[in-house]
Amino acid sequence: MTIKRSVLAALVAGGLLVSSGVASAEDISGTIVRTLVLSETTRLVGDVTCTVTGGPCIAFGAPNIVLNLNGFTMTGLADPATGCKRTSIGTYIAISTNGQNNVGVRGPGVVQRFQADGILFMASVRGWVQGVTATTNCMSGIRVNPTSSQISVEGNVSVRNGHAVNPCGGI
Amino acid sequence: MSGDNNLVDSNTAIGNTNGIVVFPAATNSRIRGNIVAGNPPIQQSNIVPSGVGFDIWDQSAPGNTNSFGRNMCLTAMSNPFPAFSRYALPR
Repeated sequence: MTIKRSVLAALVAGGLLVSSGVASAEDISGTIVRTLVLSETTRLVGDVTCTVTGGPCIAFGAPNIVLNLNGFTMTGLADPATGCKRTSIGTYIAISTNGQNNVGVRGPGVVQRFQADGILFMASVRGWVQGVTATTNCMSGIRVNPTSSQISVEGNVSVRNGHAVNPCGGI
Repeated sequence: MSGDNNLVDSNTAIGNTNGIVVFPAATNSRIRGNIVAGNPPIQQSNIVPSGVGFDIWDQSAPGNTNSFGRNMCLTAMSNPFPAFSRYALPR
């Protein structure tokens, strides 16, 4: 009986806390403490708090998949007023396409308070982001880097992103 | 926004340090039908008077064949704006 209760407690805890590694599950909620690498189409099923430092909160790990924010909010560690916590830190990204092709981020949903970009298309071909609200991120709300191409940024809202020193901003 | 052959369409950007920034490496990209206003926000302009910010800031070279159309913005650098779109921008 004790063992059964322990297993149940572990399963419940596992459902609330996404700790790390390659995501094999389709659903995400709770706190992310290490970069979560997606290997299949995934959705949020609750608000997410990211305590990841030194890398993106969520990174795509396979082509041809989608992250559905599903109406929920991803929140980083920066302060709500400026999103910067004094300065930008280029690796503290909410969502990175991480060099994967034909990947997408679908809203509605909010990405907020990250010390770098909200959504970064990094070395990707044929990506898209639709219907997302990016706010109070320290660099850009949504950014397409120079090695990405055929990226579609449509129907998003970008509010109060950017840092006074760098030429970042909404998109 | 940078890279090649990208599309920025029907977005809303308000109160950022810059609204939409087209970086020098951007080529063959289309920026159209966006509402871009209040970038940077007035609070930031007052606090950091030397800060530079625009609704749309086109840093790309003239030959990079990026196109702009039907955007609504008030301030711009290296771009035919500022101008309000003559077209409706449904949201």
